Amino acid sequence: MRRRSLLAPEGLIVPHNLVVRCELIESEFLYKCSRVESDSRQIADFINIYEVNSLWTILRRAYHLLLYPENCELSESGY
Amino acid sequence: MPKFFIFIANCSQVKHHLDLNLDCLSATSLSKDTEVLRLQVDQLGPGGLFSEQKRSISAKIERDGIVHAVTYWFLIEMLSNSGRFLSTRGANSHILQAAVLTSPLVPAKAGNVIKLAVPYHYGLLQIEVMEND
Repeated sequence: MRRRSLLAPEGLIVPHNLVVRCELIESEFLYKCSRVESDSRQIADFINIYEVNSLWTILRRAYHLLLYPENCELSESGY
Repeated sequence: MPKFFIFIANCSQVKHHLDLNLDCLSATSLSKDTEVLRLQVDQLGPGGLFSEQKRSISAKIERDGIVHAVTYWFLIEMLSNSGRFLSTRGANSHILQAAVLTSPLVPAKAGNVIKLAVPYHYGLLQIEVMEND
């Protein structure tokens, strides 16, 4: 059962599949930015990194692909 | 910087970051990239965006280090069964990457396999370290 109109007006291309890929990293910088530990110098970094964990945000932005496709990388085999 | 703001920042301890530019972040990759989740965005019901899933995946460590975070990004297939994906991992992608911090820190050695739990709840994604073999 498909319901295209829920995500986009009829006639627009709707993303079909969304694949999430991950990688494990070591980054002391990221870790310290997230736990400021009274180091005021890192507050600025902390503020620039904000917390959103909703795929809705991603999908909403995905529609910009239709408007600005030149900004996105096309991959056939995945990344 | 007022101590109050430092206090608030320390209390919130942000664990989930969106809009990270991995190409600018000072980081070392410890594993190969692994598929976490696959959703059929235009599909209702199981496997679709409006669904609830709890998966577990394994990531093989390739380099000694400490796992501070699990970074993730998306491959978006705009046309059905086209096999062509838009990757949000690329340096030119206007959608940047995201990361979930590990807590507590996970020491890892090359060859280890780290199991990750991936609960997905109606658009909300979380990635947690389950165990380190």
